[in-house]
Amino acid sequence: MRKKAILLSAVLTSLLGAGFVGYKHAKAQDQELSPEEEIRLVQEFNRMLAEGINPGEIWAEMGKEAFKKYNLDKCDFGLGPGKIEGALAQLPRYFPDAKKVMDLETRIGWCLQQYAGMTPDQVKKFAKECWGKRQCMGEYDAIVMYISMASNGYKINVNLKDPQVKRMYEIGKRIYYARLGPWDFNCATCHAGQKEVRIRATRLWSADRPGEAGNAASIFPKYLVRWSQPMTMHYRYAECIRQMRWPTFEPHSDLAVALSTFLYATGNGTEIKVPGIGR
Amino acid sequence: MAIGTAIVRVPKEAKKGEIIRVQMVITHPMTPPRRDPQTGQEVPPHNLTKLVLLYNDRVVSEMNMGAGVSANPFIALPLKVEESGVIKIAYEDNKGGKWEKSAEIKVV
Repeated sequence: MRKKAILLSAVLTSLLGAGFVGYKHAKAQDQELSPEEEIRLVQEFNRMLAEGINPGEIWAEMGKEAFKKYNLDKCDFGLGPGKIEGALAQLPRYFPDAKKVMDLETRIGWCLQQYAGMTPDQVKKFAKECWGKRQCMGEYDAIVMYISMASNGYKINVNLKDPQVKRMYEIGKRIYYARLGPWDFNCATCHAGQKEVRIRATRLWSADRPGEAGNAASIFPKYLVRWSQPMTMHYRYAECIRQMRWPTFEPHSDLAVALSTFLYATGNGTEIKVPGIGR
Repeated sequence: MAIGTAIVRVPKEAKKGEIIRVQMVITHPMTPPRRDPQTGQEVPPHNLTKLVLLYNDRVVSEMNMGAGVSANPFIALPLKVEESGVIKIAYEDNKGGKWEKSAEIKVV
C-alpha cells in the first residue's frame, strides 16, 4: 500500500514539475495512507490530467498542417474521403480498395503511397523517423495524433461480424498467445491472467481482466514523459517485440494489424481518450 | 513547428473578480549541462530561463526556470480577472530564443 502511494506521488511530481504537488510527495513518504486517501489521490491525479494540457496536443496542432501537406484529405478512413471524426473508433476494418484489413497507421501508410507519391521504403522510413529518439517532433506522429484526437469521445466499435476482420482477430489472438523466440516469450506472459504483473514499478494491464485491454488501447498514441514525445501503437508493438527478442518488427505489417484487431476488438465499448499520458 | 511553440489555455468566459487558471505547455528540450557518453565532449545546457505573464500588457507574474524543469513543461498559474483582454506569455531561453503567445478572455 505504502509502495503504491510513493509511486503515485513520484509520478505526480515528475509530471507536473517540482513544487506544484511537492508536499504530497513528502507526506506519502512519512506515513501510511488509508485506502480512502489513496483513492482520493488517484482521483485528484486523474482530475489534474483531465484539466491540464497534455503536451501531446502540440503534435495534434502540427498534424493539422501535415495532414493537408501529404494530401491525406483524399484518404478514406472508412467513413468517406477526408472524414476523420470517429474514424479511429471503427478501425481496424476491411477496405475493398486495398483488399486488406487495415488499422489506422497501416491505412495512413497506404494513403501516403497512393496520394503523396511515396515508395513503401520511404513510408517505412517516415514512420520510423522518431523511433529511439527523444524530443523528436516527427510529422508521422503528428498525423497519427491529429487523426486519433478527432475520435475523442467515440466508443470503440470493431465490427467482428465481417468475416475478414474476424479472421484477422483470430490470427491476432493466436499471435498473442504464441510462445516464440529464444526466450520463449509471448504477449500473454505479461499481459494476461488474473495475477498482477509488474515490470519494475509499472503495473501491467491484462487481457483477461475485464476492461483493461480497452483502457490500454483507447489512449494510444500516448505522450511519454520519459522520452518527451508521443508513442504510436506500432512503436509500442516494436518495443514489446524487441523486449521479447522476437524477429525485428516492421511498421504497417500484417502482424501489427492482427494485434491491433485483437486488442481493439477486446476493448470494444471503451471510450477513446487521446492523447494518454505515460511515465 | 519547432522549439518554443506553446499552447495557452484560459476559460473563454469568466465572471468579474473570478480567479481563473492560466494553463500552458511549452515545447522545449530543457537539457541540463552534461557530457556526451560517446565522445566525452561537454554539451552546453539548453533550457528556458524566464517566463513572464502579462495581462493587458501589465506584468502579473515572473518565473525563473533552470535545468531542473522537465522537458515540455506544463505550467498552471492562478489569475484574478477584472476586465476583458489579452493574456500573453513571453518566454526566453539561454541560447537567445524569445517567443510569445497570447490568448483572449472575455469577462462578463
